[in-house]
Amino acid sequence: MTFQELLFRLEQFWADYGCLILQPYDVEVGAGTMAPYTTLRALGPEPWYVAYVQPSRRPADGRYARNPMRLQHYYQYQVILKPSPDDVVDVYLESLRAIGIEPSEHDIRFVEDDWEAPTLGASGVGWEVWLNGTEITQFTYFQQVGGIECDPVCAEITYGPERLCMLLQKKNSVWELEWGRGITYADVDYLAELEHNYYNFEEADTEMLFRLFEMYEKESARIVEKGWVHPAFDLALKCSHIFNLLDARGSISVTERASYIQRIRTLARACCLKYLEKREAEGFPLLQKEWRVGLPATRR
Amino acid sequence: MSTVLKERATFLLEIGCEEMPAGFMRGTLQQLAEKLSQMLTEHRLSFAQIRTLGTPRRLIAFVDDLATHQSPEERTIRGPARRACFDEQGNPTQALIGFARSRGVEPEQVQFMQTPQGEYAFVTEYDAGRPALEVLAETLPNLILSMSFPKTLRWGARKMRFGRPIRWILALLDTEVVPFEIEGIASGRTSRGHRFLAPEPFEVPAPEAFLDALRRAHVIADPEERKAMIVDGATRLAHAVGLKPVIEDDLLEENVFLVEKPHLLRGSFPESYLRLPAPVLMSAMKKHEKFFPLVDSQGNLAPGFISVYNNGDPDKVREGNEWVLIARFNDASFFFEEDLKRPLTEFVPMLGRMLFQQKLGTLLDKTHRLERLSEKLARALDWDRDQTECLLRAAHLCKADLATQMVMEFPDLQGVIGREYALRANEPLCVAEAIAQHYEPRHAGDPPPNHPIGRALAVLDRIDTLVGYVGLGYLPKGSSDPFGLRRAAAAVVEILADEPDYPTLAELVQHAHDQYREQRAPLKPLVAVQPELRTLFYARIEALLEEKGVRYDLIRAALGGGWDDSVYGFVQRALLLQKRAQTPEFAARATTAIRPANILQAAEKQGLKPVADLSQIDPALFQHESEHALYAAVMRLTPQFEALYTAHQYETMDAMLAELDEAVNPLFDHVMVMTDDAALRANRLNLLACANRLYLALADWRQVVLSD
Repeated sequence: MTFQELLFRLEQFWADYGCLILQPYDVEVGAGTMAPYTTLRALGPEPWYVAYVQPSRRPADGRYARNPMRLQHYYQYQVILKPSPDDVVDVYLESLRAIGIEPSEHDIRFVEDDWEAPTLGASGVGWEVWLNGTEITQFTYFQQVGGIECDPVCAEITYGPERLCMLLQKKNSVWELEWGRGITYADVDYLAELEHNYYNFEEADTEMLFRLFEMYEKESARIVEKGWVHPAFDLALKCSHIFNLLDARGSISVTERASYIQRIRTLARACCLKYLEKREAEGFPLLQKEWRVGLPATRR
Repeated sequence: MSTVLKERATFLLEIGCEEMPAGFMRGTLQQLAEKLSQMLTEHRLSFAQIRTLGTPRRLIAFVDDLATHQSPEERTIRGPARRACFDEQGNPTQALIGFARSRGVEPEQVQFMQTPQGEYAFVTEYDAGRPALEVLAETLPNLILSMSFPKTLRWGARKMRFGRPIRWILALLDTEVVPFEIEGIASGRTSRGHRFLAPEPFEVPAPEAFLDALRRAHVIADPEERKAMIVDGATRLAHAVGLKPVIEDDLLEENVFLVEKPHLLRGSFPESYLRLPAPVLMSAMKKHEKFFPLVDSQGNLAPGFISVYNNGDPDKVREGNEWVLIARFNDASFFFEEDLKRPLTEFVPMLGRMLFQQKLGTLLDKTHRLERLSEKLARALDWDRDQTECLLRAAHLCKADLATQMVMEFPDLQGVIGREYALRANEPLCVAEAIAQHYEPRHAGDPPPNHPIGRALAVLDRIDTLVGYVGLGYLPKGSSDPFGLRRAAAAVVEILADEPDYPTLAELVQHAHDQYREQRAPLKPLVAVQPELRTLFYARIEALLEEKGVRYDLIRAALGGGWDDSVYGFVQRALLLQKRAQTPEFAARATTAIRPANILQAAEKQGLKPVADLSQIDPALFQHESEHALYAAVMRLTPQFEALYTAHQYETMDAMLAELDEAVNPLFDHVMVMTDDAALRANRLNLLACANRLYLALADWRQVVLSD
């Protein structure tokens, strides 16, 4: 199964289930969770069933493309189900069938792994899902976002498509994966990965980054006051990415670290609070819509 | 509803959940048994025993021989005193009428009985009890909701919290469903089998049929049975190729609670990976994949492992297991080669970017403190140049591996990797060993480091941590000790118990505190830190002595005495007391030794201030020969005791105290210490204080409990 086909099949499965298929969010994020499709929508009483690919950047995780599994830029397949359905684990296992993994033929384990994102003030409880010993999915029941209790609780299912594809294609390096049409992951992303590594670790102008952080931070705080939640949140995400870059450059001392994280959390929390306030003022519009989800008969 | 109910029946509860963390399970099952037992007793439902079983997906409790009806109860309710119940004409008062009404009887049905407080009104009520089915249905929802876990969650649109989402509840009293509901989850007789091997729900006719039905559905409910299956299977698979599995309790326990039915396979990896340090391979297998490593008869790591799995085609699972393990090894190999591009010493400056604790600075700050503390200790121990240099070098390098990629990936290998890398960087063997050893004992029950340099660094590192955290106000509370301070204190005590020449605890703490002060860390002043740490250390010394079988009162006596807080001294003196307590003279000694202590205490209560200072005794004020005799004994013994104490010669001191005993008793027999003459009294008290100081060198004898 090619990388692109894996993603198609996940898209198709979750669309059949009743999820909206969204497109990747266009601001740099460290994980699919940070897209407003998850961070903001996890809050409040409105139902929300979506799935999307999210390109994710974690500058400090780069290994100059020399490690077969670690990249500073990779993809996540993110599913949000709110409220979490009672049969959510069964549905998830069904999705594995859709990508050619017959659960009964493999050892699938749910190994405790709670999740926390200090920059978002978010935390959840859940598992890593193991397939024959390899972590293929992060499964989380969100408990808090922006320091606000999630009610109802959503289930977040985050697949690692590269890892899954390596298993399916029996490849030992992400770079050897066939993306599609005989073209490999390396053909698509190798050069960018390498260049970003040099930039992130050696070249990024830290003076500029510090200035940008301040500017974005100030702007986010200003804008959220006016009620413009989404632009303010994008600016908070910018701060988060810049912080990650500075961290990769080794420019943030251990003592400063906590205060930067706190500053980003403050921005994110303000956005979360304002988002909830605005949705409430609008009467939580999605509560009026009927959003039916469930496995179609053909998938049962 | 039911036909003929048996008098006693089995009750079965199964709480079906999504995969519960393995680490929660033992505690949760124990808690379930305790809560059930408490609830049933409270509700007068007798039972023979409660058995709990469980897998990651279910918590199961059997109550054997449960009464199906509450036992009846006769209760006597006391009302007002008789004199308040009737007026002068003998008519019932409002008090009596009100009491009768409140119990639902007529005033004439109220009885009167004599009590120690006089005659009172009583009503006897009879409670026939209710069927267990009703009581269970009412109490189980709260019982389930009241269960606690190390961490809980909410899920879906529900308000309740549990360790993981509850998906079904089975509750049967004999053949009857105990009907209740918790936020839309209704109890029933339906259970489910193995998630993959028997996913279909099935009905359970009666508790007795349940375990077999589960077995048919590929679930082994009893953790002990799963454990035995894993141990047997792993051993058999290993033996088949002439190897032995390395099965540690923690990992075994985790595997027991990661599967509903254990399956086992043997996997292998290319021998070329054995070039990586064995601890790295072991850690990748154990911590990351939860595999049992295999060793040959010499204990050398073999290129294979045993994997416990829940389900699947063995060939596919093995292929996947081997693939992921090799990927881990490749990762480790990558880190290994990257790390080895520079010598260990070059990692030290990187510690300046790694926090030890927000207010206590970085790991580089800690390293600097350890270097200074090492200098001091080496001087105190009068070490030669080689030993001193080795300690200083080890202190400099001991945290360096925390900056390596390998330790970031395999945190439990801290120290072990330091040793490997130190050896590869041609550091002396004593330095490399000390780096690994300074984290020992790594787990409760492990032996302490055996090398002097490793022991020194192990003590200093922990003292530094303890002083820092306690200085910031972090103290272990109840069962909460997030920074492992108790364990750190226990390790210090365990090592120092065998070190006669080390500085005292108070000195070690002061040195560490000085280092923090020089780095301007915001610690509480030494006088505030010392007593808190003393409490922490003394509790560990107590525990250590209890393990050595020393009587509790003698532990208290040893800890209450002594002229300083050398751990070695405490331990030796406690062991001496324990030995001496077996002898016939011991009681007489203790009785004599407490005489000065008691009178000094009484004097202090009256506001007097005796001082244990020989120069404050004036022999001209003595009136009786017994005073001269005691004075002579104290003068003779004091300088000798000071030398003997430093040399830890407690047994000799104990023998010499017989002289003091002989002088103390006559004084008490012939002299009135608390005389009205202030000068005479002060002089005698000072003399006794000097004698008491000698007794106190060994113990606080007042703590000794004498059986007769």
